[in-house]
Amino acid sequence: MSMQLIIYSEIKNKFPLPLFLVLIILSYCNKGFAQINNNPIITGNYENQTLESIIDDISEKSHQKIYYLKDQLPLSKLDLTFDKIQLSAALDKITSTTDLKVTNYRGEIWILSKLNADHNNDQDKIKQIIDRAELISNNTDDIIVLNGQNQQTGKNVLKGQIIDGSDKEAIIGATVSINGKGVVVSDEDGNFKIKLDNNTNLIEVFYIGYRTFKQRIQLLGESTYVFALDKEAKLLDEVTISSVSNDVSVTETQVGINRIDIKSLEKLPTFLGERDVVKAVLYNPGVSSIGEGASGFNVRGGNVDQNLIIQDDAILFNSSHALGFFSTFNADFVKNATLHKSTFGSQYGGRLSSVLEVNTTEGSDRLKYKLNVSILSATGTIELPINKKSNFIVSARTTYSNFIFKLFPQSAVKNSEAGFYDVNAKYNYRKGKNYYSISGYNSADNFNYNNDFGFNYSTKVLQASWKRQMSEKSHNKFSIVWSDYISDQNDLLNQLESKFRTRIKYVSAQNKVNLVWGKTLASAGISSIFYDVSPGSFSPLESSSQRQYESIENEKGLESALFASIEKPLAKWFDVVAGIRLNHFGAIGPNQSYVYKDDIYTINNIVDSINLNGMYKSYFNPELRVSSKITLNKNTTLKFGYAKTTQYINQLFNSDTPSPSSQWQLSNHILKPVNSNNFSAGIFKNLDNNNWELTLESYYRKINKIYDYKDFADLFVNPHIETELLEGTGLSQGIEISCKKNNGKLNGYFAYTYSQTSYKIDGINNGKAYKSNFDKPHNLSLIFNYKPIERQTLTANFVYSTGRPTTGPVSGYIDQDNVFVYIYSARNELRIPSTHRLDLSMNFARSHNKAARLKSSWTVTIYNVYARKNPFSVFYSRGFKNIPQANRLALVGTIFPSISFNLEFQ
Amino acid sequence: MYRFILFSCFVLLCSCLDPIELKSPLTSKAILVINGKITKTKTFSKLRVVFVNSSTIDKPSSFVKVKVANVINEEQISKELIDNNDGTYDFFETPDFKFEFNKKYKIKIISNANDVYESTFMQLNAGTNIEKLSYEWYKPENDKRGVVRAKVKTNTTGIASSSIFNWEIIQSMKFTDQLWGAEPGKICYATSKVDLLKVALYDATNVPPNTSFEYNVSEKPIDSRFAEGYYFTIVQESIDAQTHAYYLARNALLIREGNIFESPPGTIPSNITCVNNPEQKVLGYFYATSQDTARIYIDPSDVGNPNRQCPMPPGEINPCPTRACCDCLTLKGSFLYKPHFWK
Repeated sequence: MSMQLIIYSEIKNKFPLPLFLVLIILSYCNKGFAQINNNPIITGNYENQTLESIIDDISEKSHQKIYYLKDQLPLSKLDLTFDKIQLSAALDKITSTTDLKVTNYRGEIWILSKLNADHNNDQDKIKQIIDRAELISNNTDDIIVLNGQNQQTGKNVLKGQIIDGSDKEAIIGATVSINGKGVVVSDEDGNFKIKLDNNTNLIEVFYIGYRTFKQRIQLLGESTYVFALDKEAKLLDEVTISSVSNDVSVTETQVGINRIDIKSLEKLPTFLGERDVVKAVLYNPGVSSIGEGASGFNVRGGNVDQNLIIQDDAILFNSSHALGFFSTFNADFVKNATLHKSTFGSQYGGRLSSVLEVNTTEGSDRLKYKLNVSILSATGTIELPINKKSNFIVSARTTYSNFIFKLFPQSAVKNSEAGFYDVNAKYNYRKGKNYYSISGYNSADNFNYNNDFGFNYSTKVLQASWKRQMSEKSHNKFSIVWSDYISDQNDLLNQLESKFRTRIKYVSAQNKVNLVWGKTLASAGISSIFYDVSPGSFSPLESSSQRQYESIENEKGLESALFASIEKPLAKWFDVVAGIRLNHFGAIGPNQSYVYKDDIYTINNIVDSINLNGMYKSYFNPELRVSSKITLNKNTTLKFGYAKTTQYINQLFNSDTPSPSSQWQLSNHILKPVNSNNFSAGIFKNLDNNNWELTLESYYRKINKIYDYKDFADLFVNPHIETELLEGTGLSQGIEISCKKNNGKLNGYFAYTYSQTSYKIDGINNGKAYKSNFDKPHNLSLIFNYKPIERQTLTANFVYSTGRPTTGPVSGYIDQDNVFVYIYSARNELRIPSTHRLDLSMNFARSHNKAARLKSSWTVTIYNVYARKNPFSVFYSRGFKNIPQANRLALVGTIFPSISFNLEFQ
Repeated sequence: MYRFILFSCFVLLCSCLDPIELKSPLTSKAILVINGKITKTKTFSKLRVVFVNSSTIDKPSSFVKVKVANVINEEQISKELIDNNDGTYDFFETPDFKFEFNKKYKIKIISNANDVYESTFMQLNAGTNIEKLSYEWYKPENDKRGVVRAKVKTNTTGIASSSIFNWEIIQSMKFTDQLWGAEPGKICYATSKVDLLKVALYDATNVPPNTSFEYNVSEKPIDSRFAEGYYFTIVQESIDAQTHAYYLARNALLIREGNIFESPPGTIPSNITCVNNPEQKVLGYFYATSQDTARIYIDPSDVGNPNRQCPMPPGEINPCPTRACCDCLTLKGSFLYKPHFWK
């Protein structure tokens, strides 16, 4: 969403003192003379309403931003009716009954007093008027004279108190400046003292979350004065989700950032109509997945486990529900989501490829209910303000597929179960300059196929954070997180009924300070995570089970980091973000390990076992992170980025996609951390006043250490897992192109990536390079949004990608039991067919009126419109004369319609 | 709406698995595959080695003759195997060359192209015997005829190499051919290995030493095979960890189902190399094992007297619904003589 909309929204929220007007002017200085877009038809019946609310409503209905100076609007209430008339006629009707006039200023419609608007052809004059209006509205020309007691010539003491204008609570730590200097900070009761001379002084009070208070005061004696600050208006949802300017892709220095438009998730055609943050991530260039239904995603040639997925400050180890068909993120609870690709900032670490940063909503100061019902799942959300300082939000999601399974005649389906639920809850409390937040997340998945096998997995997260505004230009955030991820894989077949369990518990803490001075931004912090990982255990489910209890000792590790970064313009045309992250990882005992002859990790080379205690192995890795931006002109920038990344915990799986029970393995004295050097460069250009965004990025990633698996590796409860792994290097490179049109009836997005990812590991393919499992050279995403009328949006998206590599039979032989055994190709030598798919969705909103308390919408989705059987994988069966017959497994192999209903009450 | 939901769920659950055209770059050069096994039982000890060439783009897999095949013991005493002229070579122990427990053996082959192939030394370990072979007939839900499950009771010794089990399953059945309306014809006894695509394996190294346990080695649905009498013959092998890994890999390749969590295919481990050209790819595996055999008879009356396949019940107009109904000798492993163990 654009900066313009933010500003617009602020105005809409009835700022009596629209400080942002100047910014509006600046942001529109490039535009041509105003036009009323298509002069849309307006219908409305307004009784006893202020002109301000009437203009706002017209503006919404017409999709035409209309600006005004609130001070110039009459306060009296009007009755007005527009019956299918054009916008221009509606505006004429408004102005004909008032002392106002419609004018154009820098490409936008303004309603000003007739006196002001008469400067129709003099843009500078109007600018002066608007600037003047801004000054007046700040009341800085209205001087308050405080006579007080003990009048003295020279300096007098002003005792001030800073309070919240609405609840009258004292504000601690607000910053007070006098004539732009001499800063003092309010104490625990919101009080401060300053000495002022007899002249007029401009007092400015700043506090985060509040509008800056400005007042000219002439102090003639010792006086007291209460400064009541008004809260910043709550940003509307549509603004919150992308509270960045339209030109951010050009102006920000950090390279490789994709922001997910949460608001548009509802309109994206998705499987079963479930709004999905992770699926939206997949539309970005440089991001792919193994296939439909695969859990996780791959970024710039990275494996699924090389993405750091964080919800607020908590790391999630499984981002999927229902084995990958849905993501763990509840869209109703998500405020914004950002993907940082390969060259991310120094505050992030612990993964090689990317960071998916998901921030949850902060709730509302109004009671809100939301309900979303789709074919197989439902989500309910309540935002509950407790008092002026605190609020509570809870959102829960569940499926009801079990009920539907019972309706099937097939016993295998009838006996199956699949379902999940997740609950998010968050409590926010603000006191003065301190913000506290406590949140919890609990999710559980259950999948059981015909009592043959199943998965159960759950995630629990508790986190607390404390944000403190130290001054206007600095703040500090401290957070702690506790999490417990448990995954069970149940084998329910007779005689081997057993449960394989893995578990990851961690506790993390982080403190981060942000500072701003001038145009320089700096941040620094420290973070630490203590892992307690259970690599796996088998336990029998029945007394008759042949499975014996087996388990591997828990592994523990402490990952800590000091990080700092600074962003500074070195020249008018050159900006740099430079950071460093000093990583330390310690593997902590007690653990038992094996001693291998000549450090060759095979079972035959085990010569002894040893007990490891304390922090038996340490790794220290400094990581440099640099991004730079060269501004060619206002709309065009070149960017370069470099980051070294290190990873100390890896997921072990040798299937196409990790299962929920794929174990996580900490680095130790044998399995060393994996690391990569990531480079990227790109050119970013915006056109048509940021309506069009064009990007061209290239990346090069050298993965210095990577592990892959021996053929037929046994990864379950293996006490010498290192004997199943092979170590080598990897290389990933690619070009990413994207083009985005933000506005207009027809808007959309195009992304294309050409990439290659390969590994080179001794022991696989005779040491020759081979394609990684997710090497898909061509990836294309196309999204079109068409909005014929305000309440309806038609969205179409088309995706294409090259098939991924696979290993297939190239020969065979008859063995001693007269069984024909296939001989397979070198690893990943073949490629499965390409995948492509067209999805459509239509969103019908019942009301467009944002002031309405009850809003509802329907979304009808047609997934896989032309019923393409996209292969998830290919496997080979025995054909005639043992000639291998390729078979594709298409997880969603047909057209799939769905419908979902959204209801919001506030 | 109800139907719509059902349809949606059906589509979700019944994902598609269908054949497609996908070119595989079939190799043009054959690879020699050597499989050998020393078998020691209560009654005999022998070595059999099988030589085959893998298939190529224009030739199917075929048996191969070699110039010479030898077995060598730890004392480097070598004995030549006998050529059966069908790609198989045998050696039965002799007084001067015995297959003994805790001794190691290897094979050495010289091909017609004078390439020399050798296996690693593999130890012959004493295994454990089958304590009891039994079966149970049970009926899962919605299955009127039920399933027969063969159960082996055996024990662990505390020695790892004797506590990993590999079971061969052999079925024998009586079958009478009989045309519709005709008198019963020949009586055949057919014996064949079953469950070839999934060898029954169990690693009991985690079971406490000297512990008896029961393992379900095979399951067969009740059908016409059981109509006239049926034998389960179970051959129990004790194998070492290396051989266990070989069988696990072989199983993994043979029973691939294409599910999304399946591990990728690979090359089955081999312990045979080409001595004069180590770069040459050779496949196959050699090992030594002790075997014990047990057998159990399943009477038709004990499993609900299942219907015979021939003759077909009234209503069927085909007088010879299967080839075996007209000639039971067409059954795999079928003979007219009664096996020595048959009641």
